[in-house]
Amino acid sequence: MTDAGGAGREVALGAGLLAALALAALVGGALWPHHPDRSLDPAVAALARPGARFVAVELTDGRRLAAEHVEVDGDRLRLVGGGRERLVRREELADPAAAGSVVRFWLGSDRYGRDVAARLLAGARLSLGVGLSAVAVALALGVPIGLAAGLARGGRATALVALIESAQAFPRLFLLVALAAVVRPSAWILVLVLGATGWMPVARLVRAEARRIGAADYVLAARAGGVGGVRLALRHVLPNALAPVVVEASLGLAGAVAAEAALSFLGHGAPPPAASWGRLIADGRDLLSVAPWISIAPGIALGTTLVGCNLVAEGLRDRFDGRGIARARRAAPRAE
Amino acid sequence: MTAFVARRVVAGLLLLWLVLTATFALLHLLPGGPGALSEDPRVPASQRLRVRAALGLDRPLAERYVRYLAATARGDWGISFARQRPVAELVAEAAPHTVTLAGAALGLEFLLGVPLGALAARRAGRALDHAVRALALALWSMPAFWLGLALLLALAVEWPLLPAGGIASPAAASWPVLARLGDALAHLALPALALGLPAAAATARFARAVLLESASEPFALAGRARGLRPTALFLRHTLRPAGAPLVELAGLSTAGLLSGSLTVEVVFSRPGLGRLAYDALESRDYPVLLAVTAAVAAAVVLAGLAADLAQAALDPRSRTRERHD
Repeated sequence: MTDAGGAGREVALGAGLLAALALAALVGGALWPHHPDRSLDPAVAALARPGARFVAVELTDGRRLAAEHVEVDGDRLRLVGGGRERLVRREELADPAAAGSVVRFWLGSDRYGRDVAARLLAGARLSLGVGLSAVAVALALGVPIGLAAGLARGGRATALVALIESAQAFPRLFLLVALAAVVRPSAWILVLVLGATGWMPVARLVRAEARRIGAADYVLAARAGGVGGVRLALRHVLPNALAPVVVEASLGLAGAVAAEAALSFLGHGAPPPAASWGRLIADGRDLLSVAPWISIAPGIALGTTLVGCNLVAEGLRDRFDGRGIARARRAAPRAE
Repeated sequence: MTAFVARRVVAGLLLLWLVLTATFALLHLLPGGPGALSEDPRVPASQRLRVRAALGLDRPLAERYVRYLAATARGDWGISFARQRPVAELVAEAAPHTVTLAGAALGLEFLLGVPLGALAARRAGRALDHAVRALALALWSMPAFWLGLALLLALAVEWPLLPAGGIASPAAASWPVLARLGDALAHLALPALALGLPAAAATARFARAVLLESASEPFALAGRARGLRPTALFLRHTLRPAGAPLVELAGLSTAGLLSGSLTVEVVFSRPGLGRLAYDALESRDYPVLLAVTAAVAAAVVLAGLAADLAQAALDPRSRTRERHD
């Protein structure tokens, strides 16, 4: 087995990755110099390589022209770039004193000359926000259903287990696609739908924990003392089942982010103009051989998020092992 | 054992019925479903009437439900709105492509994942173990559709070794059998890798943990005390007892692999069930969506049942233990 130190390092590394991503999602968009939806002169600056540098010149009519470099020629500017030269008179400039500002696309630009890095940061907000909210919904559904299924007896327990098992039989993405045909997509609907298709592993785990804990002496003592129903579940059973729930929530986050990405990739995630990582990957799909960075950057961001979640989950599980966490959940089958 | 099999089969059939009921509820009870289409003023009146009749919306809900179950049992899933063909035919045409893809991915998952996990387990704590675990973590964390795009870029565009999509070359119909088979395998390779590699990575990590666990069981220690060679000890007292949980994992993987096949089929234009569902979503072809969703869920139920029975054959303890505890 992994030693506790190794497991601790895994958790720390995973949590660090997730914290960095969350921080980038929260404040990155505000600090980054580019706007995710603002394009720069596609004739010159579209599909620019990562690190590409342009001079942007703002005109009085609102247009923003780009050039690889600018030569001053008397009262005119000569914009060189995109295989041609354009002449601009000084009085056309929005700011006649400056000869343009430097724009740098650290991760390249897309087909409209938009900054890939800025879109990535905006996508992080949506992908992580939707993922986290969906996990909250999944926990809100899965924990009570699991507790009830684990503590109930007889017919009610059977019915709840049947509910969990039949819901789990649907491959998540097929269910999401079927639901996408029925409900109109918005970020909030997406959260609800992802939560509604993600609560089953939580419920199954909580049920197993509740059955184990429900047989403990202190629970029996509480029952004998007249504690029952909701109070028993919340005060005596749930607190002792929380550790594995954290593991499950971490895996659930990975699953929700991956499922949202797959759905957006198919064009049925949050509606435009919002673009999550899945949409960004889809945007670059037909440009793979020309401008692979458009798809690769959000793919790496997505992969990093999943690595973070999986590290936290596995590290925590190694620490809690022997606490009755179903072994098969080690390799969580996941929808992508 | 017979009683166990009978119990499991009955439970599986009940689950199948619940799944069909849930699919029915999904499309008939939620607002905005096909019912909304039949009331949408933008849809021509004649079309609306046809939709209503095709879905039986002019009848009470209970009658529709009974008719739906009866029709499903007969294999009659109605006519596709978009393609004007029986849905059962469309599903039957698409299913083999998905079964091959998911089957190939399942094969990769276990043929790559278990040996890698075993390798890591036998070298636990050493450099090789860390390398395998890190590689597996990275692969496990890759969405299948993204890995598919990366493989497409590398092996079909930059170095055109393998076909980029579809299921056969255009001229393949006139080729000899072996050439056709090779062609089909070449078309299967990239999607199967995209779907199978992340699953193999997850299985490698799982197999490592399970093997380490069974290696620390008393019977493994007893084997060692009897002086068994390391290889014999590993095969008999470590790998064999890990068989049952691995079979259980194979059953659990089915839902994930089918789910992943949806995007992979779209990426590689493979005309399987995933692609069919995606096209049906685009054209709001409800009968097809309903049938495909029910079909894949039924496949998951059957795979779970098969895994249960196989597990019971491998490990007698699992016959009395309640499932998934």
